[in-house]
Amino acid sequence: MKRPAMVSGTLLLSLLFAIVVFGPLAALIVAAGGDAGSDALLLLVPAGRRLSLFCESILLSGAVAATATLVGLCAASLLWEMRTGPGSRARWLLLVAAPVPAYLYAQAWMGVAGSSAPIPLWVPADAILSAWVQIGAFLPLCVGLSMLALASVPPPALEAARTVYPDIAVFRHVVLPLAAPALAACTALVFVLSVTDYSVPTLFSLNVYSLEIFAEFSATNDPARALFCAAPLLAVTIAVLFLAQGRVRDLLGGTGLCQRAPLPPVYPRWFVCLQTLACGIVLLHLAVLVVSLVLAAGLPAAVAGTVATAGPDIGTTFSTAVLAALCALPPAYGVAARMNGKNGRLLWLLCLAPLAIPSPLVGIGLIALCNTPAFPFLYGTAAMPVLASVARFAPFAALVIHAQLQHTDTLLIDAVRVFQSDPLAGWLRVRVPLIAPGLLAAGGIVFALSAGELGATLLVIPPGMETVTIRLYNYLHYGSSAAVAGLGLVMMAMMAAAGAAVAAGIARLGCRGGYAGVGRR
Amino acid sequence: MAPDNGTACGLLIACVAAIAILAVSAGCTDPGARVVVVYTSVDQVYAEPVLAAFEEQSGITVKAVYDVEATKTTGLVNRLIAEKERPLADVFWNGEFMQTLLLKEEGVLAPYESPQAASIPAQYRDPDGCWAGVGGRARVLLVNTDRVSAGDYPTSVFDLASETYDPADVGIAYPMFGTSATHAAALYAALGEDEGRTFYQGLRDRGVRVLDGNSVVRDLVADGRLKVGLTDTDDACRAYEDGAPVALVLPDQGGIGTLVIPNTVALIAGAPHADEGKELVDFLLSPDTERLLLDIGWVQVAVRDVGESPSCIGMENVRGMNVSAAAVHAELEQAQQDLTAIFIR
Amino acid sequence: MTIECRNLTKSFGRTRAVDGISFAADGHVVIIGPSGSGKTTLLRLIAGLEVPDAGSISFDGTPVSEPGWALHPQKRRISCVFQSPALWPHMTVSENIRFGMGDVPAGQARARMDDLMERAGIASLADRYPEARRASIVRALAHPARFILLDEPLQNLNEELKEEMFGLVLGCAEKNGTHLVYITHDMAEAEQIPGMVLSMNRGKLSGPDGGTGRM
Repeated sequence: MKRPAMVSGTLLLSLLFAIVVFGPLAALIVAAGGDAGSDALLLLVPAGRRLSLFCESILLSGAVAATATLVGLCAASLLWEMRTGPGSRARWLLLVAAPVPAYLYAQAWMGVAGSSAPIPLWVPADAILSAWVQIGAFLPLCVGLSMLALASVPPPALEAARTVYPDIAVFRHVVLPLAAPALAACTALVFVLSVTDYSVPTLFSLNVYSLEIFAEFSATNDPARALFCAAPLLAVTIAVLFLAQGRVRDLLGGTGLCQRAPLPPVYPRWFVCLQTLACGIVLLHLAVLVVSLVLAAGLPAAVAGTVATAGPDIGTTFSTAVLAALCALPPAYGVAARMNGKNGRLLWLLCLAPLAIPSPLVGIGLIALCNTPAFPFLYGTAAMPVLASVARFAPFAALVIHAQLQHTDTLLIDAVRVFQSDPLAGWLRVRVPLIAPGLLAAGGIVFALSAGELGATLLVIPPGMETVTIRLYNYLHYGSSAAVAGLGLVMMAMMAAAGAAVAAGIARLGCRGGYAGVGRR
Repeated sequence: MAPDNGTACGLLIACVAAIAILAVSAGCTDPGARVVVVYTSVDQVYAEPVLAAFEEQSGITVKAVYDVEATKTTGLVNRLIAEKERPLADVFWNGEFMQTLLLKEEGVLAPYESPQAASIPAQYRDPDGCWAGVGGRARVLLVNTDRVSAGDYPTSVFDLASETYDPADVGIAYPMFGTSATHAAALYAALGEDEGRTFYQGLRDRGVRVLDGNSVVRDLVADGRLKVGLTDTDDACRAYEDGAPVALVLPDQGGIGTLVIPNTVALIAGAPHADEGKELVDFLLSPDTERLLLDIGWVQVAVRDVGESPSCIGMENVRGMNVSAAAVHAELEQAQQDLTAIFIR
Repeated sequence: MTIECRNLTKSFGRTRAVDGISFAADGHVVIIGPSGSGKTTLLRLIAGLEVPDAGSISFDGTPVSEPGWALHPQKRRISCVFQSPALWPHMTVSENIRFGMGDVPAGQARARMDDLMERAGIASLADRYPEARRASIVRALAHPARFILLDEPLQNLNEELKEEMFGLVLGCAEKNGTHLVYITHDMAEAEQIPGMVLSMNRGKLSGPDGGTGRM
């Protein structure tokens, strides 16, 4: 009895991933048709002025990524010990601020800088302020990832070392090396986010390479030239990711996340000071952000008015972000499941490279891809901003799901293949619940990033629709700080709700015991 | 974990279902309703009441897409070019004219001689009828009156490059983007390329502060962190009306003149709702709408006589810069290339 | 009920885990051999959890695995006890066992489950290894199957529990007419199972009679 070979579901999903994530880029390149061919080499290899700008941008982002990771780790090492009492829940609130646009941090700090004493001219204030604000904006992310990094240290390894060495030696010789891969991944991600952001540096009159890309795009309206211009950034990003390759995998693999609170470590005074200082920096950034938003928002009635005006936008933002999260998960799963296979390394790189593509280019590419007779039902509909978000953020989801799959016992899947009475029951009762923490985390990340997306959404949003982020940036230009603050608070509330749901889900599903029924009843 | 086909197939089905729901929900529109789609770079706060007035008057539903300054003018214009073959938009309402000229060059605009444009002077109309200008903003010097005494106010944009002020007290927006780019191209056209380049090189060499946008220039002058800044009248008037200690100066009234940047309105070639689009173009170009734009503070200069200006600065006898839109447009690319090299380093 | 493997081969990278194994058995099969000899891979091939590179497997003369194709494990009427308990952690023990019983009518399933759980001495929760291990065996026994595949099912249990569970497994197999495919390191265990013994080493059958023999 000869049967056809099985068609791999993950292969189909990976193809879907490739179409959604790389389709816009491919369409863009085809549509550009080599217009920029003659200048391609000039644009591809930065020289002279562009080279020094490029190097300075890389240095700035490198410094931001390293500092943010260091401060995040020190703060996380203190927060990590808060595993009982109100602190254990409050520490995760930090993550609510993670998706707040860096632009709002910048506005808040500009207010502080404006009311402080003038900075001496010899101080490179633009670079320092820009780096300070970026560090603040990325700190919640770094603290969160560092806590996951600390969770990846197996409790028995820690306990074995604690019987022999003082806690600071255990931290240095056991915790740090074991958490290092996840910390490297955190640094790499922050580097990518920093090097592609021009909004904060330009607010402080600091020129960066990503601004050059937009200047090129603005001057020529030629997406191909902008793409060539972005290529060196893409190359550095891929190099950075290559160095961090295989390390993000450990992020969700932790077994320490759910362990009972151990005996608190006793660190020397200098290290406690460092931890306190780091927590102080994190709290200072959050306080400046929240206080400036609350002060600027004015009376509750004014905030209510802003929220009422933006009501339909809030609905659009919410539904777009939810749908983007739902649509991103299946293709991301397909790629994630194949990352351990034959071409896993290549997939890993391919999956992350799109993160360095400027968002407007994704938007233009999507227009080139979808505004054709082939997809008459898609273009100009509410599906487009969803697709834009999926194109930009599905790689993040793939990364997180991959980490979850690494953490899932393959025998559990084998068992359901043997025992399931029908595939649907097996899928609903076992397969999805098993990877649910990863799906939830990935969905939450895509939701948060989609809600804050601007560059690609603006280019594909159907007429008559608007997201909170677009409205927020409109008010920013108009100079209505009360409305901006009100919308900023709305965004934070939306993230808080989504973050709380995701955190609760992960806590409930991710902390299941190794055997059945633990923690359930 | 090895690729797990069962989960993949399940998720694939879920994905198809999600996309189907999305497509169905997206396709739900009322086919009988009259609709017009407008893309606009006019600030949403100003554009919304004008478009609402049109809806009320015509019964046509307006669907708008608004640009934001944060995208450095790479937003809607690129979208219009990318959509050229199958446009969604019927009308483009631009807060300035350079990008409109670019769109005409790209073949995105359709000629339409609006009856309302007849009263608009020829210099604000495209010879081929692809666009017309209505209401204008001017490029002005905004001065902090707490930090600069009345006798020391600048009178010319060239004062920004002079020794009069500490460069740390002077601010301009990045001259490669938006109306600042238009201003740079206009100076190139008025002074010649070499002199234009020298002026901006001088600003750069002196260390004048280059900021993220006209609204940032306004904010820094308004709260005293800058003495003088170059910005648009809508931004400047907003600071003035908010009670900030600022004064507006129309630059170069004794020299090359002040640059006035009209709004431009155009019909899109192949517009899906061309009739409704024409109605909106007529509405936006009408004297009543120009008056409304003046009243709400989006523009400070009228292109024709619509009565006394309610602007925060007397603009009735403003001496405009004597350069044509075509001449400014011709200099834009060169100016942007030079200025990118000068200012992004 | 017969299992027949013909020239079965499976490689992972350069390692040939199962190398041209052939046997036919009508009854219980015991697989013994040192660690890394390919026992688990052979069991997974029989379960349909791996697809062979070469050779074939048939149950009662019907092919179930060929190169590039394997009948889904669910459709083979088999059940498994894996090397680790492999209980789904989001379900209780009862839910694990009930889910494993598939379409068995509710009343019948309840009675069978209660009987087996009582005989195995397990409750609804399993937060320690011995309980989880016993629960995984009960899950396999409760599942209506013609073959039960067991991969060192009694490892790390104390002698008393081992004896108890071994009796339960053999008793159930006899009562239901089910055949076992049983991997073990323990020769005493192997000797108590009537049927064919396969001795494996480096992916091949080894020893007298080409590695097959009867106890």
